[in-house]
Amino acid sequence: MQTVKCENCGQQFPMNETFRINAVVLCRVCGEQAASEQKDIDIKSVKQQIDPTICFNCGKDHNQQHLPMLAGLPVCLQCETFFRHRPFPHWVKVFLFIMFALVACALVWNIRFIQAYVEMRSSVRAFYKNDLEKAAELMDSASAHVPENSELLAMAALYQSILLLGQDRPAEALEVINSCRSSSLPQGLNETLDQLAIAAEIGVAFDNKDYDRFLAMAIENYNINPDDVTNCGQVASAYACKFAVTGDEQFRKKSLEILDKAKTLSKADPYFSEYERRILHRLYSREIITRSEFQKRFPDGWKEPAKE
Amino acid sequence: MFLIPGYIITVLTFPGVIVHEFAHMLLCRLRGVAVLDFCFFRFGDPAGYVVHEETNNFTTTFLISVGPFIVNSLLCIIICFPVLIPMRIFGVVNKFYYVLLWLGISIGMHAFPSIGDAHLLFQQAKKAAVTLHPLAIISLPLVIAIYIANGLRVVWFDYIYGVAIGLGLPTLLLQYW
Repeated sequence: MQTVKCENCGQQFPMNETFRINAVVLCRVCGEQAASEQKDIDIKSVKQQIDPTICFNCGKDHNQQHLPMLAGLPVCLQCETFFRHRPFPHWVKVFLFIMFALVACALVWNIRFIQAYVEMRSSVRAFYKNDLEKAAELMDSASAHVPENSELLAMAALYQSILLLGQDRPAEALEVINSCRSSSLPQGLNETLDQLAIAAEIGVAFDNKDYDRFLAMAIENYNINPDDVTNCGQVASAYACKFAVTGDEQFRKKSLEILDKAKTLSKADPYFSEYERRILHRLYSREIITRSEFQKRFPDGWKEPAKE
Repeated sequence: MFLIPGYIITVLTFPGVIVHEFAHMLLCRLRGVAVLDFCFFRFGDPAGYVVHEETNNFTTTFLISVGPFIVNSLLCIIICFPVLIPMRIFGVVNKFYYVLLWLGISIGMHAFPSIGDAHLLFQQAKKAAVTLHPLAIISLPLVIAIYIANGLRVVWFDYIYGVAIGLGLPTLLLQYW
């Protein structure tokens, strides 16, 4: 501990008990006396003397050893370490623990939504890559994770029905579509489902050899969007079926007319090209066969034999 | 737009104050800066504080000053994320989600450094900018942004930031993912 002499009373005092007022070192008593005598004393001119050998935090006396300064105050090594690694209060640790526990619980509790979202996005990507099987499977799985979401259920049904229609299974597609119909769905989605339902009903009518219904449905679909290649193709296909069954040249003529329009719209789409060949085969042979049968019989495609 | 006294908002969003001060103190500890006094939350102005020694290392000053901005913003995103997908994507809601949203947005609301933090940063940045310290150079516009953000608190900028960082940013990222 360091002592200093009061410049007023001349006595020795521990340094920490003295003040420097206007550059004069005074003990507490003399300092108070000086302050009471000089009412207009500037508070900034009063400074407490700090003993550099006594730790300001723990008060431990280090005799004549000068301590390192921390923020202008002497501190012992132990206290400096404490200030530099000051522990967080327990309640703060508990608060943060609870907060992270809540987040962890929420993550675990909601993992099915995250899985559903990841699958949904992957499904959409697969759909745009024309990998319908994967898209339908992923959307179905996403819907299973969040069964309370009717929109996701409808999307799964949508992909599933497109896949089934592509596999010539219109009855199953229609069943899937009808199972997810709901007025709460967004308008756009409902419209797409309506269009798919018509396509499925057309397929069902074809499978049931109900060609009048096939033609009626195809025309209904065509009237909704007359510039759609598939819609045009379906009408041409329906007329071709009617020709095959009745032999009425009027149906043949109408089929070829609308097939021409579809061809123009298709812009050399390979899927339509195959559809066109099937319709032409039907018109030529008056035989109605399914797509799979057609592919089996004519794996390299069909061409109208040259007239001799 | 309606005005609510600041102390009521502070009380209602107290987790943000705690995390803000926690971030200051955490950065002090990580950078070996002595913490002389602290208060994580109190009914007063300021609602929380961390008193630490001054340092000549500008990187340390910068990190301590902007620490809450990084920590609070990140925590806001992490807390809001688990409820974001069920609520925003699938429209599924339950009461627990609102608790998490309150917690996340409260923390996000207190992300911006205070005027005191900005003042300290400005004082140190002025000195460090002379040596072309890169952090000091970015600190000068940052300080202006902090002052503006604090000024705009009267028009709920802190709340808007909390919602934007907790809900808006992850939604945007999810869309582009």
